[in-house]
Amino acid sequence: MCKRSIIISICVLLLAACKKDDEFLQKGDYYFLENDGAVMPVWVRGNVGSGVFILTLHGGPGASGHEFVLSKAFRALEEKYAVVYWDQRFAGISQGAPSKSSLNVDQFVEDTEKCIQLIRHLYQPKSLFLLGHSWGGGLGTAYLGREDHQSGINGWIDVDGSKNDTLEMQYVKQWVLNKAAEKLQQGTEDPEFWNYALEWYAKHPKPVYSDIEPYIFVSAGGGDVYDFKKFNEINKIPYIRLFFQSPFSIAFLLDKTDISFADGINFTPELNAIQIPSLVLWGQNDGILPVPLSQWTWDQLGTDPAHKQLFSFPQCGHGPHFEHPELFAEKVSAFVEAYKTP
Amino acid sequence: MHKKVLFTFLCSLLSAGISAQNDIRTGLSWFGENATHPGFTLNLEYVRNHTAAISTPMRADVGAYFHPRNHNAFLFDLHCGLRERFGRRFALEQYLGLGFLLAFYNGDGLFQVDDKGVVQRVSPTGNPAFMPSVTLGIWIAAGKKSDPDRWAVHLRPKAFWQLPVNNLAMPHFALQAGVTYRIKTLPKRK
Repeated sequence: MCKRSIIISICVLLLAACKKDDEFLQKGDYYFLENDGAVMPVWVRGNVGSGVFILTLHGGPGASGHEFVLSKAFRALEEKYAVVYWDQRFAGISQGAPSKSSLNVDQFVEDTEKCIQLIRHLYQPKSLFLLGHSWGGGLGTAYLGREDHQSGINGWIDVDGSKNDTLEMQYVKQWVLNKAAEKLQQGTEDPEFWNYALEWYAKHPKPVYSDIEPYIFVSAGGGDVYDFKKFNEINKIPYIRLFFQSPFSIAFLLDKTDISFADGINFTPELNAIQIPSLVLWGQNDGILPVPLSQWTWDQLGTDPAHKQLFSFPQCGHGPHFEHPELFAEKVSAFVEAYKTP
Repeated sequence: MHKKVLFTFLCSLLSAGISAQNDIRTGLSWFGENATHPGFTLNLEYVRNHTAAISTPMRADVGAYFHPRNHNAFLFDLHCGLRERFGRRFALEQYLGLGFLLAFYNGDGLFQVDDKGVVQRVSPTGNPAFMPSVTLGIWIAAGKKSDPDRWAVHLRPKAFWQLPVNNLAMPHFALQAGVTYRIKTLPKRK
């Protein structure tokens, strides 16, 4: 009886393993890019036949491009365009054994260039756009603003992107101080927490990127996700399928990146050097990179004002592609349609 | 509870050379990384039965698993553990293991781009890694009434680490399920 049960269980597992799952295990092309010790997955999905490619640069540093796959916004974009999801070194489910000394901006820029060269080699895209979120916004800026990297790139889409550590952390500080005052005035259930936030900033007047506390304060204040309930209703994450039937591994959940290399980054010169068409998208309630930075980004972009756009999403934190997927896809599509032919 | 198990384990190891009746078993297991990413292991066990209830198996596993769009791996894994019986057929197990893992990327191609922008598809040579592991298990004697231990089935959840990946010990979860067959019983040693 027991032997039979075990044999049946094994058969069930075998069937589950052989099940063709288009979404995660078969959809698109899945490559690995090896560079300087890192082996980084490059997942190309969507309408490759369109000839229009959007290369995504994820946040963190240390998050994952595979997160975008879970967003309805990018699924909508995939219907029209090819979307490339790339996990950077030490991030997501990238592999290899890169040296810790390779955690530097120059290396990330080089990786970006090689990823683009790989896409050009494999697909010969007619049009290529870069889209960066959060840290990816900084990486895209650093990439485009250096050497002649803008040639052959049709447009740049900056989503709540980070470019100037010192400036941004001061905006974050102001956001948290305002939120703490608001919470304490309203009679929050957790006054100790917000008083601690005030005390922390009194002791740390000049925080840097790698300080963890500001992100905790911002998340508690709704500056990462504006409305968790709505967020969860919109984004049904298939956790069980991700664990059992996808490229994801436990590595996705691990913090592999020492982000202190990004302390003090300032990509303002590179931002000034960008001249290609640009779209700046921001969450109005973003506390991780507060919304005044969207106007600063737009002002600092070197692009002709006729070819740069700014849009901020109402009732939205740090991830407009998760909180307003339809509107996000609409804005990106309109921009791509406008500039897909140089 | 943990102290009791550890104490029993140590006692049984200490008494191993005194009254050991040894079995040699061989088997085949499903090895599912994350339970469902398919794989298999061939097992060879050397079991010391110290008492009717306590035995200390040593097991070697050799096998492979395939995690689509992530990696494939060949593994060789040695375990030392404790099996404690509850009744005639049912036993619980725990093992510590140390092994070797050779992983290959599983995707549509591995590419390198040189400094001149020349793209090359390259063949993965495999990434060697150490593979420490912790395994728990349910073991059930499944032979005939006259010799229940001849056949056995097992179900073993396992945590193992791939070391190094990205400068850390990458944790993995796996589920092993299979059968073993006693191929030889060795006489007791004095």
